[in-house]
Amino acid sequence: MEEFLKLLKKIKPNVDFTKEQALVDDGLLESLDIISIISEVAEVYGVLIPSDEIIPDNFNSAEAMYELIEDFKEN
Amino acid sequence: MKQESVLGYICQYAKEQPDALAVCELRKKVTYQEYWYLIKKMAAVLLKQGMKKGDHVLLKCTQNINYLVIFSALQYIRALVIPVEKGTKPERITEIAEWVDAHCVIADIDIEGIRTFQIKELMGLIEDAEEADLPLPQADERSMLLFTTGTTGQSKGVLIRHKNDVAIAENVIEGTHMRKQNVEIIPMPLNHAYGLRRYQSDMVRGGTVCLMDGMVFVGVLWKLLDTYHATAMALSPASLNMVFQLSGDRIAEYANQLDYIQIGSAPLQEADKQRLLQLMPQTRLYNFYGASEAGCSCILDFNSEDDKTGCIGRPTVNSIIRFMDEAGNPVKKTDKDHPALLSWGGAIVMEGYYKEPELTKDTLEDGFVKTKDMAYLDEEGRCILVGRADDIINYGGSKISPAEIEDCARGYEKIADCAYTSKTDPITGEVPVMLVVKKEAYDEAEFLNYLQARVEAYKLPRAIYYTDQLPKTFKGSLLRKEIRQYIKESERKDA
Repeated sequence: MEEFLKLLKKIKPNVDFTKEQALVDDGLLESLDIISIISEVAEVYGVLIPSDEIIPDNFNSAEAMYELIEDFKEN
Repeated sequence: MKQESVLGYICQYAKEQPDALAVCELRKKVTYQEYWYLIKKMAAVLLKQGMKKGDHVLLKCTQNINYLVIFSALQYIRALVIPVEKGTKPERITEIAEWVDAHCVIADIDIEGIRTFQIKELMGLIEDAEEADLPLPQADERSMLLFTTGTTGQSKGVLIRHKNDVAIAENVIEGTHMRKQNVEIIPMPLNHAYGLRRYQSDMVRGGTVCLMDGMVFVGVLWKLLDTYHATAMALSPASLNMVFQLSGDRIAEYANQLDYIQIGSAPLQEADKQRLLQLMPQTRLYNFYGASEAGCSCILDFNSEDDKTGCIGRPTVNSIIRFMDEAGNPVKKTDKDHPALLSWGGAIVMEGYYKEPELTKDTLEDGFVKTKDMAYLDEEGRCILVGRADDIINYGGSKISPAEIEDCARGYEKIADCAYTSKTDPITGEVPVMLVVKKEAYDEAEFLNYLQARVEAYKLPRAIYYTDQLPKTFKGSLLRKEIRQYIKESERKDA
């Protein structure tokens, strides 16, 4: 998780990913940030997030994103 | 029955087909009866809050049902609604509000210096409100003030009347052969002409609109297609490209479900066009040509024999096409060797530009909107574009004026000069970049912070390149083609 938080921080330095729970709903992450996260996740973790899972709920917090990665890592 | 406004159609369908879905989100939906009821109640709320006929009201887009309810309620009380983009910075909203003499702002944040109503609070007041019972707006009354960057880069306020809305909606309905039970997914911003006019055309037809906030959450697209059995989509080239990038060829699973897809707001990349044609061989694929000033004036089904280089299709049902020479004289016959300047007339034509009488005079002539597009009509009646001056950057569907960013950047004292341009990008088509002539003590991070504090995030350059001198004409204007070439070569060298 620590490593993932660093990755997020690199993409959006001004956001506190340890606290925020409504990253998308509150407009803290914009569409191009989401694209960057999806690309970085593919590159760093080798996980291609299925398009059905690319929904706001899965990107509203660092935990939700991390869980998503873990789920597809295992599969 | 023919109505004078889009609101008139919503009211009509609330009686004729009360249980038909009007607008949907992923987790919320309203029938025509519910939608009209909400609009009338919201109108009562707005009146109670002191808004009235003739007031100019800025409404920040939130891309959901609540936004459309307030938008429609403002029209119902005959206020002039002025929609603004959801990413607009508060300082910019204050500037716009001052310029348009706004009575108040309705937004999801507080705006300094002007009375602001929070969308959530207004929606909270709906429950206890009585329904307002007002006359419907008339065709010649103003329906909204739309902001456009157009092709000149100068932000302009376009005054639209209800008759324009209805005429343009009819152009879309006729042009797409829209069926009565159309269910259309609209991920495009509802403060821009493209998104708003697609919504309006579905309302005039009595169809259903499914709202999405952009295309990055492509999972929402599949859920909307499955939940509401959508039969049409209104996309931009960037959003289509995003669908391909994030989900491969999955869209082909809906080839038999989708009647048509319309693509607007920017030219479609050839590779994406070919991919779409291959994946959706039976689906009608449309491109509309038009502007905020005269909407949806031409339509092209690029999945037909009409698709050829430069072709923008055939004039739509409520559009009148006219050609002029450089001196402004009408040109009766055009062909490949004799193109002329395009202009558009009919009920689609705007009232004029807000507070810009000179610009209005330069743009409108005898009720026609003049363009800078050179074109001709071929023997089949198709309109073929020959050329268009265009420096505007289209980043993911958002148009950015280079002059605006350059003016701002030149305020940073450690640069001598700059040019804002774009380079090609596999996802968005193009991304904004900047070419800078530095002074001593220049610091890139500081410069980016400077820009970040002054312009919207999507307008920030994604890369900065450096040079000792910018290519310019003898008059001092930037040579933008050369600048793009310089960026291209710098990229090649770096690679």
